[in-house]
Amino acid sequence: MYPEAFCIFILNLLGVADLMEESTANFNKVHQNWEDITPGIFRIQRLQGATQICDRLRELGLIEGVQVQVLSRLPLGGPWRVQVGSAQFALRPLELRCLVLGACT
Amino acid sequence: MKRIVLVGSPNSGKTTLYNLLTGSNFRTVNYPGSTVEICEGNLNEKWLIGEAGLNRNDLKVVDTPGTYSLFPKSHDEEITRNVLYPEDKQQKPDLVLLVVDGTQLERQLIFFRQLKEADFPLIVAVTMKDLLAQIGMGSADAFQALQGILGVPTFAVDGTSGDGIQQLVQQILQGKGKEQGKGQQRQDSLPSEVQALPAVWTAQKTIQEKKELHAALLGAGFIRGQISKITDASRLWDRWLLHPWLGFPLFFIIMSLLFSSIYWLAQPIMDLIDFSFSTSSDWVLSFASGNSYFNLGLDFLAKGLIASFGAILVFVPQIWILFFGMGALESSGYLARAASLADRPLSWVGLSGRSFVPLLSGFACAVPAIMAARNISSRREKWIANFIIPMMTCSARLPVYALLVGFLLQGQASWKAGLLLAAIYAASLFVGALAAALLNVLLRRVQGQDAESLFAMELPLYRTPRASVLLSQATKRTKAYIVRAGPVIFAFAILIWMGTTFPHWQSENPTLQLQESYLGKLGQKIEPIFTPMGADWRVGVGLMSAFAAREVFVSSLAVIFQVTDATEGSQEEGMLAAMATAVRSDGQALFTVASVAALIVFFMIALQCMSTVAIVAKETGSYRFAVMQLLLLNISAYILSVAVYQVLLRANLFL
Repeated sequence: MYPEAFCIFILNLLGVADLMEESTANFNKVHQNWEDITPGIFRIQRLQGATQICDRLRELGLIEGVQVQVLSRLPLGGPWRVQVGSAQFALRPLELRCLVLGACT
Repeated sequence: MKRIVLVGSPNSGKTTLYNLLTGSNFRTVNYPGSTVEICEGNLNEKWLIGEAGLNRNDLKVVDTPGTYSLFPKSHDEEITRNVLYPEDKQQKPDLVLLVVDGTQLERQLIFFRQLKEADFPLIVAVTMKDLLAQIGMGSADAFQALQGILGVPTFAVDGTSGDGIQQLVQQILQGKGKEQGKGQQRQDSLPSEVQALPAVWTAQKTIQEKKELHAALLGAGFIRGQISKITDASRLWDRWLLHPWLGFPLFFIIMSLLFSSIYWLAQPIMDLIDFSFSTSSDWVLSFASGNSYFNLGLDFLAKGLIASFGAILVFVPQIWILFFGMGALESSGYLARAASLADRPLSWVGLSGRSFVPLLSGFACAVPAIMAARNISSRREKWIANFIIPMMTCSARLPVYALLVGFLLQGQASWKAGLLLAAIYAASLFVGALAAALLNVLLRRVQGQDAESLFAMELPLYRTPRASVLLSQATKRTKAYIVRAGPVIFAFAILIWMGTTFPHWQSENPTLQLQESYLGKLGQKIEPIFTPMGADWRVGVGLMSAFAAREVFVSSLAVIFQVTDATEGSQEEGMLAAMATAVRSDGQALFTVASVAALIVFFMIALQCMSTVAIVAKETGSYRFAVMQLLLLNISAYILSVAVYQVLLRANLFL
């Protein structure tokens, strides 16, 4: 049996075939290598990338000009722990890539 | 009647304030996104003393799921948006009470800005007054100054002591906040040009005003550096609990302690309850006389009602401990950390850390757990979570596992049983993860790649759980469990007792009476279905009755095996003794390690709870999905339990 057809068959059976249309295109990758980031204090220069993610980050208070402290990365390559003021967040690398950070002067 | 709507960021203290305003007792937890539906209540009468001409029905208070803005990113946030912009114009809020965490003022003002610009009548309630006081901030003058900056009535409230609530209510009753939103500019929905500019709409303004606002807050005494001190203790804890190497071992230790303590901590109280039920049963039977009808009544009381309820209520301490432990985790602030830790492993099976709390809630009950999945932003991820949540070991499964584990480790130390129980919990997670992985593979195969969803989890401050709150919440949830299960147990107690007693109720031979009973005859017809998994018709009847409520399996067995034997020390011992001596029609032992393992596997996977099926249909909006889930899980449970039994039997390991 052709695997893709089988997958579609099962998804149709469950009535969730429309999930196949859920696009991943919104999650554009921005070229900033967060794998090399080291903990420290930075200032957000701008936000760029997926609109949905940038909007949520702004709503969380991660806006241009704000000082952020990158604390550490969670085990197994998990989210990064980031502090803004007295608030702490766990952000996936995909979300962190939307923050363009500069040195904190 | 006026409608006051409480809105605010997740974990800002809305539900605590709602409880204080209405006198309700909704569960409050230290985890962002715990409220996923609206709650409505009338203002508590105690706030209306001295307010002539007003009664509590004049003011309706509405609690909403937390949201960061007017632009929803998940289903729970949509609910809040719909409360602010209802389809029914009669439901429009007369006043919006924005609840803001006092330690996060600057950050949470984006939502304030949106509400103000949308022209809502607005009052701001600043919570966490106690935390601000700890660092010498949040004086009355500071809040006066803050009110000047914000341009709307602003009050500080303390959710723990209720300090500040009276003043807040007085302002609400005096109609304050209306000056801000006269409703002249407010539209029935967000203007389309605004909808096209989500967060940027206000973020731009916020950036422009940021310096001004910061300077003003500083002038008002809200010093950012000072506020950051509040986080010092949390950061210290996080150094250990989120440590790159120790984070996961500590996570497993915490979870293992929670689930294994269910068994060994509860044992002494269980013994006490068990003793009281077996004594009651013996006492009732001691009244037996020469009148056969009177004896029949006694038999129903002892072997029907007392045996059924005793079999379930003996496990209530375990359920209480489970709720208490989960409450402690929820209140401490660790859950958001655990969700962040679990994010990476869950991403391997197509989920995110946002699914962790719904999955963990599934260990208490699948119905609220499925509702908790509303705060997952990705639809795809929400479907996967909804599919596997029913596999988590809910409290209804606990009596079943406790009985089966008790049988497997009869006479051994209770910590061993605790460990085995923890292993069963871990196994249910593993099976759930496997199912999620399979669904994810199907989706990935079609989609071509993994679609990542929003995670961005706020990590709240650690707080010491209040013992009184934990005790009352655990007791409330346990009561709800008993009230829910009670009528079903009662109905099945009557049905199964009648089914196993009649028509030969006067027979002197109990074995013959059972075999020739109505239920015995019916059971023997369906026995071939259950034989491949090592069960006979009696266990089969128990499994069928578990579709009414899982715990009924235990009470059904208690009635079928007539567990009131006065020779045993307690009812539980009587039950285990009856299981140990039960034989099939071919004379072989009915309950063996293989057949009990098969039963555990069956209960681990089977979806027997119809309330869960209904809530899945409602949350996914698809009856088809719910029905297919019901069929797939039950068929898989049957096939796998047969496989487990047959493999163990063939391997000749455990007869």
